[in-house]
Amino acid sequence: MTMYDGAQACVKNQATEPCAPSSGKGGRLPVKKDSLAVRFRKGLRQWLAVLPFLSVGLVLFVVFVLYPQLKNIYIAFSEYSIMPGSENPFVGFENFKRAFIGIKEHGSDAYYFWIAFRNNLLAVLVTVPGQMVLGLLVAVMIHNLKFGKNIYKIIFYIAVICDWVVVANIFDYIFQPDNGSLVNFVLMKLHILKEPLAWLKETWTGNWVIWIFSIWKGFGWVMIIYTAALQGISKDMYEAATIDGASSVEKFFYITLPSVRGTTFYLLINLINGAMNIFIQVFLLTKGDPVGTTDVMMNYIYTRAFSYFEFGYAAACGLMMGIFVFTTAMCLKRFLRYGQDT
Amino acid sequence: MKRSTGKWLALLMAAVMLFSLAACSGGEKEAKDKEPASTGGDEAKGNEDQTPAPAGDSGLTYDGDEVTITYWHTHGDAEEEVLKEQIVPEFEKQFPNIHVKLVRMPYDGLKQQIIQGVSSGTAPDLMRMDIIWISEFAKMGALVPVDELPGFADLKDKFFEGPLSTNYYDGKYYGVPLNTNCLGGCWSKTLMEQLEITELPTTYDEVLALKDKLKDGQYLFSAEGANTWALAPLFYSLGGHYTNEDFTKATGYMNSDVSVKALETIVQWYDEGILGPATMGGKPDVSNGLFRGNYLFSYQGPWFYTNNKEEDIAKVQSGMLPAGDGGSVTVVGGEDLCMFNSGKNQEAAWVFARFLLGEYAQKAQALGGGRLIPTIKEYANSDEVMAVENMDVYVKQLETAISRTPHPNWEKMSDKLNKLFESCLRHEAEPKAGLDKLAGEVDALLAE
Amino acid sequence: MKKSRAAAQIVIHVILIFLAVICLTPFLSMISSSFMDIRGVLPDVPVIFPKFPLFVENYAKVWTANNFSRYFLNTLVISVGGLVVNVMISVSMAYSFARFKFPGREAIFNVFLLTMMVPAQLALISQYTVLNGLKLIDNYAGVLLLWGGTCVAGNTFFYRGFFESVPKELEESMFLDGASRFQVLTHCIIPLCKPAIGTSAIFAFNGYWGDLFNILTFIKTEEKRTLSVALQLFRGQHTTEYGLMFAASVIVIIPVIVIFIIFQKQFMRQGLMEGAVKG
Repeated sequence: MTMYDGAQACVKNQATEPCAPSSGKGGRLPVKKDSLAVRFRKGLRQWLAVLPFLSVGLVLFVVFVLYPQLKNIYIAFSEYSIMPGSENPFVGFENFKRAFIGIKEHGSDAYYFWIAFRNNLLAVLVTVPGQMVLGLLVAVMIHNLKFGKNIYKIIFYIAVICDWVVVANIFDYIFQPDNGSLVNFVLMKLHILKEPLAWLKETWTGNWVIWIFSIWKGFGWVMIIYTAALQGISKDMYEAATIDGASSVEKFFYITLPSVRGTTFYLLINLINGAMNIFIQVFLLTKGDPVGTTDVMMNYIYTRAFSYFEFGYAAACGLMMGIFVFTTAMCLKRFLRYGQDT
Repeated sequence: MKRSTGKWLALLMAAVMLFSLAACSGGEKEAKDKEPASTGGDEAKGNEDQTPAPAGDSGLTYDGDEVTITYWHTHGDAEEEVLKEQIVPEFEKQFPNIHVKLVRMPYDGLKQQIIQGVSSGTAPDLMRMDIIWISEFAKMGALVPVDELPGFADLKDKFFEGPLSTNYYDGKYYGVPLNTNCLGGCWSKTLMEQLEITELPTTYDEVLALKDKLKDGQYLFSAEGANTWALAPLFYSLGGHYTNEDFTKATGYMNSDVSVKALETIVQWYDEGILGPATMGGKPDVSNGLFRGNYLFSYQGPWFYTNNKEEDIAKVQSGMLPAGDGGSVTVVGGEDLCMFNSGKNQEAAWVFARFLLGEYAQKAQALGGGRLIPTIKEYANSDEVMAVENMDVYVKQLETAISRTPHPNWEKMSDKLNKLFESCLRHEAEPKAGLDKLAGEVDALLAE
Repeated sequence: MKKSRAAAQIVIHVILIFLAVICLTPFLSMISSSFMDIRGVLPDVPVIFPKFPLFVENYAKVWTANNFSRYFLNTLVISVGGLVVNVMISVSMAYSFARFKFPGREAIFNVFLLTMMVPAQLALISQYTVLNGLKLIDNYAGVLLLWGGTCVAGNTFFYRGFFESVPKELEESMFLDGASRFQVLTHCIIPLCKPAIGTSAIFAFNGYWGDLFNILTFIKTEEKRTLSVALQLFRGQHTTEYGLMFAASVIVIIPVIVIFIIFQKQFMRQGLMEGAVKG
């Protein structure tokens, strides 16, 4: 699914070098100041040199990513109709206001906006640590195995590579409300449940299914990235620690964790982005039921745009979402990098 | 360096071209040797002997240029087979200058696809669309009004009124009803035996009288969800209304005493275990409940009888819904045919639309696997169609079917109502207060 | 000492096997269900293991119905095409950012970052307008270009670090031997960054293989559709035919898993990060 793939695509970035922008700044400091004309000519020459490699990708990016997003900004400030040739009057911040007026009032636009937003935040709080911890633990276990490493890696990775639609259908199936569904059956056999639950029809069970789904599908990816990072830690450090009499737990906290900090940061950013962009799970499993309490932002925006035709409002919500995620990522980057330096 | 990047680019472009070429040529070839018959679809086969003889002269003419029209639909497997193997071949035989390109669309996310087409002027020539969407797209200015088109005036009087009304928006018709349906009663033979009844109860009072005979885990009836579609028959039969008859006002209707009473009764029945848990998505679900005798009856559309296994269907029978204070009311569903303004072959598309409304196509779909109910009274009441299983019940039930509010803002209203129904059943909201508040909001939506 | 190590190994295996069972049971359930005649009512007891005799009609029906076999081929063609475009564009983009200096480089890079965070749902409408203007609707080339454009930001971000970690000395010696930039890229950087490229390529392939919304939106002819669209057709308006849908799902995911297992050695064993550094 594209939308999620967008999120997944960003999930694979920058593993080794988490601080590109500042390094770039340093690189741009000129040794001595050239005149404007000289600098311009130099810049032009540099651009000409890079253009053969850059042009195709950059053009496609501008056309298919940047232009639509700039247009989104325009849509967000207008009362937009998709009919060709229609007038799209400029409405200022009207669309943005709607997400804030009547937050407490049951049934208003803002009310459901904030429920969806809350669910995204909860998803971040649950699925990000869930995937990180599970992924890291499994990675460490696999790393310490003598044989069978690859088999386990493949098994845990299958869920990651499977189609979202397929996996969503499986989850829909095993969480059906009757006695015969896999989850109800097992939990009843284990006497955890007395009677079958309609998982996808209740607020919190529905949310939990969405979260468990995300963790189940995502932790394999975390595991793969971590196993790779673990291979990069030198064995000498562990041997030295063993001689000093450190326990396995101590080694984990004092050697392993600090060594994979860069990877952790990279995973963190991407998992947060992923959790904020949850869509397919909701779109195919709960549709936000009951009463919009399992809704998430992406589904909210989708419904507003494509069921209600409120493109302006949907675009405004999307824009606010993007700014929020971007700011969070930047803050996190500052914060974590600060820790790294000291 | 220049040369090597050129190579790089050329390679990229070549790859792109190659794949697009492969795709195009592949597509054409497939279209040419499209084989007519694939196996499977037993339901359709079983009915083959009943297929009506090909219509001789449908009275339609087309003398325009040779064109290919695109037709979007969401038919299921069995219905698609009738369309592909009977209706379209017959049509293309009669109108060699018109070719029909069928595109079956998935139901999830369909609206987005339509919007995409409308916004760029690439919508299909003709589309079979859910009846509740017509007015939305008409308001947007995307649809062609059909009032002035040849033959519409004649057709108009032949339609069932309910389905036709779903095409009406702001003084004009923007489509024609293709097939109709409604929720009817699906009664569990298993539970009827246990309760020792042979005649179907005709009123809710009679149904309620059976309550004491139920065992644990049994309920009198259940809807399939707490929404404006699934709960409508019950809500309306109990006297409730969503709006006035012209769909212009909700205050005084949606929150009238009877409507409030209706919703309160529904909540009360749900609490007392008269209305089954499937209403809120609980177990047993409606199909299981009917087959095993957990529910005496449920509200089901005609598709229910073709979507389940034969041995399961043997455990239920169709019948009229019981009547409440408001009568035995149900809701109209189904699909309309509409044409988009951007369509380039409107004349040919309209010919095909009329062919789909002709005797041959309407009867073929009724007798075929999907058992679609014709929207033209004459065909629906014809002997062959009436002979189709369950058809008589649904056609009769349709007489008292109300149409859900045909209004561009229906989807928003419906969402609000759904949420209210659910909240009330969960006791998170009070029927009276909720409906009062909602009626005002819906008034505003209707006035837009 | 040795004994406790062996015990630890066993404990780890037990935990991992337990987790593996949890991970795989849903899949097993799906595969088993795909061999059953499930219409309307779901089975009373959960299906975990296949029941004999197997009901293979689902597979026969799926393969013949709705052009499914045709879609399979389409999906393969377009996913491979997408993969090629993706790798070419991403690699050359990342190379530009890793090894060239030009004004505005970091600004562009930050724009990439920002666009990755804004939900892209409404972008579909504008993208459609563009492709329609280029007369590339209902054409695989259009979809490939679109995929090429949308992969740029994320992949440049991903590859750049790897490319930068390739020691410059290697390249400089190649330049001295008269190699062009392009040759350096193909003969030095790409081979050294194979694990990273492999990882991202597998992801890209999976994404394209399962892409639903783009195909549904931009491909308008039934014969040109792909598997994920066909899969969606089994989720009807009124019911979902689980047996058929799962049979179709199995057909859809098997190639992905097979390809993954074949190629996993390429990148998993070597390790993603160190692959580049070691070179």
